[in-house]
Amino acid sequence: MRLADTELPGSTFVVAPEDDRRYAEVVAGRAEDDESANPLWAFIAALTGTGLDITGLFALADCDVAQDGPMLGACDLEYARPLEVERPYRVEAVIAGLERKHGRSGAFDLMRVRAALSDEAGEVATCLTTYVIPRRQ
Amino acid sequence: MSVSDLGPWSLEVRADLMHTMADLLDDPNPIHLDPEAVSRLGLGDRVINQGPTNCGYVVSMLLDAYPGATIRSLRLRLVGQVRGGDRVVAGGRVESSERAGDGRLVRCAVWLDVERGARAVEGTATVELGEAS
Repeated sequence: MRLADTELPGSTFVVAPEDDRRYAEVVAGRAEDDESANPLWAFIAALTGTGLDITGLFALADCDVAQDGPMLGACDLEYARPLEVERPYRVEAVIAGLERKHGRSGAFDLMRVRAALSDEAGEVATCLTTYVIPRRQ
Repeated sequence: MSVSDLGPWSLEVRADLMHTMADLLDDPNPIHLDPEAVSRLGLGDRVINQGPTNCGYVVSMLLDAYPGATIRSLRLRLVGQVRGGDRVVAGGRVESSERAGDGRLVRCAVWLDVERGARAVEGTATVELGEAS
């Protein structure tokens, strides 16, 4: 399957203050009283801001989320500036690769998605996400 | 368990918060929500925590260790699973620290372990500390 370099639709992503508070509760983090957003929103934006929902993203790789149980394998995040709540970010994403591997539990694919978040002042953060997709024979 | 300069930071993982995270991620993957689905997939009998949550615990540990710091990079590998009811422990070790302008850049090895279990997350982080640090 040839997916490398496939550009995803992308979207505009905004961290709502209420969602930042909910995420802070999930990770027992500090909910700041200012405009700052948790840095991990760059990952969440990379996952949910591709312009496809998770089901649609994995469907590109012939993966049924409910049946196959794909998982996050790694994330590499770089920040030029901290993220802020209520600020619109443009998310541009591309499938960087899909590679078949074989492990003790059988075959799996590594799907890499590269996403960049930017605002009117330029790039804010990048995220290279690696997903593990089990391939049950 | 590794010796930790940062942390230890710990909490018990609540399965109900996986529903909150599924909502934030718009992620219907049943391995986070339904123990029976986990069992059907041969992955055990307890729901599996979302990866962004496990990574978030590491960030919470870093920001507890360095309040007000700015995270410049995170390179995290998810090497094991965390399940509802697990107690997790996050920690880190400072590898280098150098002046950067008026502040400092601190590079750390970071991790998240399941207590009495396996490592779940490992990687590195670069944190920028402000003038007063």
